[in-house]
Amino acid sequence: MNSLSGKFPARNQIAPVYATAVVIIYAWSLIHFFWRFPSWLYFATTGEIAVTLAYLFTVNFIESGLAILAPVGLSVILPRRWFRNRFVTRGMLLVILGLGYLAYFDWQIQADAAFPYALAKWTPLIALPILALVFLLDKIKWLGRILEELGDRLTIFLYIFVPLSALSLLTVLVRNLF
Amino acid sequence: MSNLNRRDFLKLAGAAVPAVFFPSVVSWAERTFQPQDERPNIIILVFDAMSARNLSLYGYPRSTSPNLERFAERATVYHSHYSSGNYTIPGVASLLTGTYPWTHRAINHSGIIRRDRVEDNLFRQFGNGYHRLAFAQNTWANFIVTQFRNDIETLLSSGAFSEVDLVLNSHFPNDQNMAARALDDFVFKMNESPVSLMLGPLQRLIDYRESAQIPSADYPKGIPDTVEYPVHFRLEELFAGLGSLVTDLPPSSLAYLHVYPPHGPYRANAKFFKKFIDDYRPLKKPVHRLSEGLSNAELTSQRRSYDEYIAATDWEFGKLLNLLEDSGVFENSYVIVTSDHGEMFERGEKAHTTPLLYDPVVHVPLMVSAPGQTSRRDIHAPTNAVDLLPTLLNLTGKPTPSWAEGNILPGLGGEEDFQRSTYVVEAKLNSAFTPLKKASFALRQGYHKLTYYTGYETEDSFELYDLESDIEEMDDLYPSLPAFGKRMKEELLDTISKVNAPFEKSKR
Repeated sequence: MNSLSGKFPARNQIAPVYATAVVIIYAWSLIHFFWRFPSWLYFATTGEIAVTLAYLFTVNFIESGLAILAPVGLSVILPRRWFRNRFVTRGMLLVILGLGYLAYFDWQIQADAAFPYALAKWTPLIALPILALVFLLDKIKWLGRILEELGDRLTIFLYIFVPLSALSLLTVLVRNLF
Repeated sequence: MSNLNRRDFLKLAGAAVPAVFFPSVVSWAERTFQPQDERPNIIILVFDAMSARNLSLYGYPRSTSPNLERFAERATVYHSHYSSGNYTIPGVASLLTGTYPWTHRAINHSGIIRRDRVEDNLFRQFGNGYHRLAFAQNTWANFIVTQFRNDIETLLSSGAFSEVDLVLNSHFPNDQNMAARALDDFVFKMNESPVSLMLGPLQRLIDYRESAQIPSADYPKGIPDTVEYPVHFRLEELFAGLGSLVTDLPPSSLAYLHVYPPHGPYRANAKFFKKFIDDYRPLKKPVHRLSEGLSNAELTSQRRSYDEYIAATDWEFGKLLNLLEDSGVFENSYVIVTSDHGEMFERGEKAHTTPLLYDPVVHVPLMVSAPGQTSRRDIHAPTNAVDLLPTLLNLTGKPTPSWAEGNILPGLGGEEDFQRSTYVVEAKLNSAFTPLKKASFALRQGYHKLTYYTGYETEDSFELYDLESDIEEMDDLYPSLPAFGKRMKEELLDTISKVNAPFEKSKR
């Protein structure tokens, strides 16, 4: 148990990686949200648009939780010096590359086109080159520094999105429980 | 109340105190102690996007609807029945509220009924004495139906009777309408790139895998689905499910059953696939300036697929009909068959995403079979979807509410009135909160139909047709503008002005 807790990243290590996941996941959804926004103004009230946003943020909250599981899981599974000691840069690289691939995959899913099943089938194998890239790119010192700086700055978004998500989750729960 | 026994009295007395504080207790008490006389069931079967103009029932040259014709032999058949809009949202909203789109304001894609009119609906009017059930396979129809959630005892998921059902809103029964609009119509909508970066593709993958595992050899074009939402179904299972549902209805039920077929994608099963490769050639009509400008070849091919899908749907309806006959449902039920809007394959336009209001996209079937009815009756006077609500209320001894904009249908308590004005409104590009300025309107009066297109990129225009002598709407009488045409124009503009007035005052 001691060895497990020793491999678990510290809170100040998780925060920039989680912030990176949050920014990517929420930004992706918000782009779609604002694309739809003008049409909602045609028939939805401000309150209804806010509730839609609450459902969206609740889904994003769950997704960001899932996204942070991957680097934390690797940190726990792998030897400390492989991942835990370089958690911020390697975790950020994993999140950026992983979610970047998902963004590419999502981009391939278009209206009136068949689901890109061939791409989906090979997706588990994509994890290997992504992991390789995570370890290779982390060797580049200046990239590591940039990522650490970036991660540090992205944590500011947690102060916006986490309270909003908590409020959204509460909204969804209240609307469905009562 | 005369049969109130000691136990009932104690239950009633026990409920009295909490009833002051909890309205739901009142509704329970009403239902429990209301005298349960044998009122007929009301079964409304709505086919989505079924144009009357493509049914052999109404004279279409292809034999698309022999079973609907069989049903007609025991029903009142309306020959000039119109939807109030040209697609699902306004069509269903009008049908269930008895008001025109300019009143209920469910006019936009994914739109809903304005909040202050939600209580003005068919289910609420029937009250707690009826067991109210709804199934809307079309998710947009479900948006409307879920607005009436508090007035419906049994609300089935859009994915009921389906092979694959990944619709989410039914898991949020206390907030179904918003869950439908936020999750099913936005975050997890199928025909757009996923909004949810991680769970979106997962949902698509599950949908793909599950639908791929369904045996579909008997459906050459794949089994039908609901396009924008993850529901895949087989016609035979859908109608078998409806059969079980209808034959098991408790006494005094109001059932609204809205099935997706023959809405596109038109996927007839093997029995009907390529059934209509024949010599039939629909009349070529000029391309309308507001249409997509599709070629006649494309439209002819689409029309054939649509006709085949109608025939496949009709076949399954025939099986349902047999079941209803054998189980005696017709003896104690009003069975209503209609559609929320039509479909068109002419003038450069296909299906119903169009500002156009030609007859194929708004002329829909309506048949009403009364309990024990064994003969056919035909009504030719113009009627409209808004007439259903007052008619059903009248059939069950309830008065027409003052806000209803329809009349009691002729043959079911009303009189044939050829001079009456009925309307069709299409305004999907207009805000629901503002006056209708970018819209299409049709006024049907007698055999004449005046259509008005306003606010589009092209100049505002009127068209006038005499549907008695020119059912294909080829000869526009407007340029010559006979006196009655002028009168109709003034009436239509006056009506539009009146319905717009409240919104002119309170622009959002």
